[in-house]
Amino acid sequence: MTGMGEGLSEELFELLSFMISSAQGLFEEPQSYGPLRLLEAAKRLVEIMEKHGLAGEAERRIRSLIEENIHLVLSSEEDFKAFVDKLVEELASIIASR
Amino acid sequence: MSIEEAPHGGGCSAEDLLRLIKTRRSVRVYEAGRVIPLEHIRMILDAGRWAPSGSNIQPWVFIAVRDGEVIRKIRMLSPGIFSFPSAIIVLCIDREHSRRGGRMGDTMALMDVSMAAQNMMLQAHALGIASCVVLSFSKNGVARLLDLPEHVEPVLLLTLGYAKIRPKPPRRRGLEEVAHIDRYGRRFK
Repeated sequence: MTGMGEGLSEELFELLSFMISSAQGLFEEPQSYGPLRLLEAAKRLVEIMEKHGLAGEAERRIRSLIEENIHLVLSSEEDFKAFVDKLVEELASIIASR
Repeated sequence: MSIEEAPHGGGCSAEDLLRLIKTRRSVRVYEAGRVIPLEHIRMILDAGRWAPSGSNIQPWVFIAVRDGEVIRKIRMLSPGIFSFPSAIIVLCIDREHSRRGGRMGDTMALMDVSMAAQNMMLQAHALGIASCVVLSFSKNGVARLLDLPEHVEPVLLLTLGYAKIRPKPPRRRGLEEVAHIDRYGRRFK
């Protein structure tokens, strides 16, 4: 593999590593870290898509919402959960419009 | 001034120390590509080395990682690292030392390494270097990556770098809530 394919492959492998090492840690970490890790993985996936011209407005909007709100997990689990609910509503709107 | 010559209190004002403690933040997003001078890494490690330890066992081993490629690989196994730090200190317990603590050895060693991490974070902060302690990482994965021998167990990562985003101070529980005087229930006012 060469060029962009090689870069993309390495970036996806980093994401894969993040997901697998997250799975290992989550057995002992706080419950809210499950959604945290999944959202972080989603953010990283969109970053890769953006870098390779594969992301549209919808993916960028999702990434931006995650970036702005992911810190809530550290301050209020209730607010973090409310954000995840809102994010899914946003996602549903995007899906409906496709 | 040598350690032996330093006055009681170390010549550091109480106000300065408290300000240093209160202004340290856990920083998770760092400026990309900025290198921390080796001399500063040395001072941070030295601060860790001077932490107290149960029975003065000093059960720690510190591995300072500055190589960008190794940092990238550690990050791949560390969900708790969100951006790219300039350096990572891997704080480990050396079981050949900690076992001298008897049945309390493991617990004591964790406390000792935690105190070393706090010393390091304060020293880094005094040097203008931001830090964050990370517990969410694959211990066996990092051990394999760094060729750690069986008796050396990584327990904490300390990411270091120059803050890109400096968080606001998080809410602190008040002294009257967490501190009591002379006996439980007599709130510290």
